[in-house]
Amino acid sequence: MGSANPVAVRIHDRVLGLIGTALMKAELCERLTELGRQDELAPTLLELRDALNQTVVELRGIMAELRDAGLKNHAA
Amino acid sequence: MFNHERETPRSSSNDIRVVLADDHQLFRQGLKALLELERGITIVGEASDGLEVQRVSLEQHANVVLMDINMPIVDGLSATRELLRANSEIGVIILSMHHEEGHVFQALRAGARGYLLKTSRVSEVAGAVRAVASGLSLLDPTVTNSVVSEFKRMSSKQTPEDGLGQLTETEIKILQHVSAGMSNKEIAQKLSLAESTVKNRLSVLFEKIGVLDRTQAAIYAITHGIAPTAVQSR
Repeated sequence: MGSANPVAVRIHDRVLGLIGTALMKAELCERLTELGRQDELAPTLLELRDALNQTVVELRGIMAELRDAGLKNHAA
Repeated sequence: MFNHERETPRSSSNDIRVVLADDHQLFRQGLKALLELERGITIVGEASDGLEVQRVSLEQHANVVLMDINMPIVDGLSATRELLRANSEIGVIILSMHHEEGHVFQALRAGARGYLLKTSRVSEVAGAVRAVASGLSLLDPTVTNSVVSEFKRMSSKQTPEDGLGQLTETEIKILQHVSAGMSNKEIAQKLSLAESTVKNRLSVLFEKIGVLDRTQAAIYAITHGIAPTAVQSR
């Protein structure tokens, strides 16, 4: 596949992975509701929130890296 | 309201035995919880790297493995190859965030019988598990387009196989005689043609099938099943 850009790798491995997890949790909430198992919703919604929070943290980190790289290029 | 297959899950000995391989524990947990709501599917094991998935799948006699590509120690593609070397009956479905065609082709070359994106709904994943367990193959519609495009690209390329279809009846006969070791003069006599005609026809024929000389042409005829029987069995 060649040597990938480290930012692209991080977006793929971390951000997309977390979004995949969030989608999975959202679908689980949907199914639990269909099955009338609302009592199991709360922990799944918490996990969904965790996955989204981690996504935000990852994206902020990546944006900071890109900003720094942009400033270095600008200064050069 | 519900799909009957999804409404009342119960595990039985006839269930499809599935192993989940992904280094993201939260993703595995979510997928497991959802697949356990499906009738006829039992999760018999989980793995977080490409080495563990081989061991767990063989130990648990898995029918189907849902495999991520990016995993530590051994990646999902190498794990697929190794696992199928140990037991070719296992159906491997790659479940990845990668939608690039390069990954899809590598997965298919490694022996995977399914390729789905992690954004697929679990009903689609369950459908793929059932399809692969019954011996079918399944690709995510998002990646099918790249596969079809690649197939078209390959089909439009000039290959020796394409050349075979372009040969006239006379050229096929000339090729058969070349593969039988006959000279241009002998071929000319046999087909009632001028020797110079045979020579010219041979040049065109070589170009069509992409070979450089009589030896290569003879090998081509043998490998493509158009050489006379006596030559093929030699």
